[in-house]
Amino acid sequence: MRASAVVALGLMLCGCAGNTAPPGFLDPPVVAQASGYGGWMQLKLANGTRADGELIAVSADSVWLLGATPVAVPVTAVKEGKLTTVDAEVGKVAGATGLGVLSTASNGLLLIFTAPLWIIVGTAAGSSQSYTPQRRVPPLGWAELNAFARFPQGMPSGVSLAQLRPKPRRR
Amino acid sequence: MRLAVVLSVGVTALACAHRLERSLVTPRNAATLDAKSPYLKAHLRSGYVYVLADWHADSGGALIRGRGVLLDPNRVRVDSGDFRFPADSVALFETNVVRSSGANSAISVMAGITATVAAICALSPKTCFGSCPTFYAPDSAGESLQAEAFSASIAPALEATDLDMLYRARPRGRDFTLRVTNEALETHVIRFADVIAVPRPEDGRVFVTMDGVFRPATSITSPTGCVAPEGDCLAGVRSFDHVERTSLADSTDLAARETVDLEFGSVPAGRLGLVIASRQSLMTTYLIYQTLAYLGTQATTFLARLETGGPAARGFAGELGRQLGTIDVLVPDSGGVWRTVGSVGEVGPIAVDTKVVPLPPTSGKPLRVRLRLTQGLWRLEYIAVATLGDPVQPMRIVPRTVRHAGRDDAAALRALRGRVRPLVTFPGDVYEIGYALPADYQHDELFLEARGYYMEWLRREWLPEENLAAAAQLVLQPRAALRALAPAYKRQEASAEHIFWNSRYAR
Repeated sequence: MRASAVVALGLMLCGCAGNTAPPGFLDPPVVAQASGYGGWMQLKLANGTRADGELIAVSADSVWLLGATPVAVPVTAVKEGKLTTVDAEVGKVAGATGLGVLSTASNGLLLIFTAPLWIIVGTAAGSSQSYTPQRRVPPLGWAELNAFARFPQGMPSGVSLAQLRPKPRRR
Repeated sequence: MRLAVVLSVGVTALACAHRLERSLVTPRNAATLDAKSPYLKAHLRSGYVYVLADWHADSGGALIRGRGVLLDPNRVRVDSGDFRFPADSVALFETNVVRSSGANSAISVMAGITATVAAICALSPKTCFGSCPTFYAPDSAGESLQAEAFSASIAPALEATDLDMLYRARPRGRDFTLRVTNEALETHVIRFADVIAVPRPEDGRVFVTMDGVFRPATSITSPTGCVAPEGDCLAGVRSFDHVERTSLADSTDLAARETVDLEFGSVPAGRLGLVIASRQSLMTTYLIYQTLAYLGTQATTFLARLETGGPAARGFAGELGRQLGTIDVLVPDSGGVWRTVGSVGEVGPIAVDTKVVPLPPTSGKPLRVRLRLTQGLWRLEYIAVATLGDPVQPMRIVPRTVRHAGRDDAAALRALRGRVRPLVTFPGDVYEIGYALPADYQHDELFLEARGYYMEWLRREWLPEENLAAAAQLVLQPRAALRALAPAYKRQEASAEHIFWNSRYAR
């Protein structure tokens, strides 16, 4: 328990990647491969405001998001964007690290070396894992994000952003 | 060990974090679709999407077949079953391959390290831990480990006083600090830890005999020859330089003896003494732990009986040590027959212990001295012959301050000064004991006199070895037990040192 707390604290302090996606929105990779929805996009606009939501479509000149308010934003009005494609599964790494720290009980006094090593390696691995599903503009171009949009082919003609339903949350 | 394997498997399984590799392919390139993708998504221009399992691209990618669902732009299922459609009716194809994350590799490596260390400790638990109160003192380079106290006192009934020369101590002023640590899974009970100061002769040192007599020594002379079973051993013993003469234990009998023959081409005048600086190998540590492992769940009962059984019980317990013996010093008599004239040897593998053995008058040159010792048990750091003066009276210096965890510890100071309630330390504890040396401290030889005992914490890894018959043999027939244990000790002798020094407990 204490080891898990240390790992959790370490992961909090290590600068793990965060996102504003509602709980249960992001699918784990295994689920996402058969899902028809987009990832979670966060935009920092040039006027200082922010917008976020499911990435519906993206082109060289516009980004369509379905969040609390559906928005179509010209990319010229965006300062930077961050797309989180899937759930990073950092919890799995943290859990494994906690269990690993506990397993050093089998190392006798050598646990004074192996337990801190577990915490250091586990924290670094968790931090690294948290960034795995992220795509940022810049340095990427907007068109490079389309693979993780609901409509990677672009906004379909005849489909209105206002009529689209948000993705149901996983429980 | 079993727990370690289970946890390692659990860790590896739990760490199964993934990353998703997604690719988009135009209909024109449908023949290049990644067949490893378990699902194929076919995005239509209308916003509908087929999500197909068991999919296949036929006719060079012109025709797509598969079983799955058709979802509308809101991702509501509008159809399901077997589908077949031309590739050029699709806007974009999407494939996804889930791969193991790089974090898994790091976690797997750590699981492997943990399991390996667990295996080492399981195979050699007698070398994975070990200590007794260890004392660090300032030396010419900073600070070094200079004494280990009452190493043989593994139970209250075996409480003893230990006198150690602080050979390398170099006080930088009258304020002198010893740092005492508990670096093992043990409880240390320290009655007192006093510094003993003895006036040093000009160009000489002061050494102590095994019975606690301080003898000033001058004309300290290293040997000119040293011959042991392995051949020339002079490099190991001619100076106090961390280069030791060692040997390996006999593979059939841990009590087997060997001899080391010394020659001094230049012999000082006057009454001579042989200075021997030595420490033990890990054989004693191994045997103590093996005894506790054989006693298993009965270990505490046995240690309690040492307390209540009187001198007879303690005599039995000490027989194993007597079988291993000390370092006997022999010189030839007038007829050339080797005669024992004294012995030295303190239990403990950590700190070098320096003692002097007075030699009988001799007129022979070169001076020849023979050491007889148990093979593989002793490490010889330094041997010299010196002219001994009359015994001198020491000055006892009790602690003036004690600091623990960065603060003055008045209770610990009272314990070490009052001698009523002892100082009790636990794994990872560090105490800094301050002393006020005499004004002429630069001309004093310093020793540490400490009294107490310590108790090993029984290790779970030892319990499976409980064997009361073998334990009884160690106590009642130690000679036979030392033969029986020789193969097991030899199996881990080579790696024991590395494991031991890497297993110190420190916060």
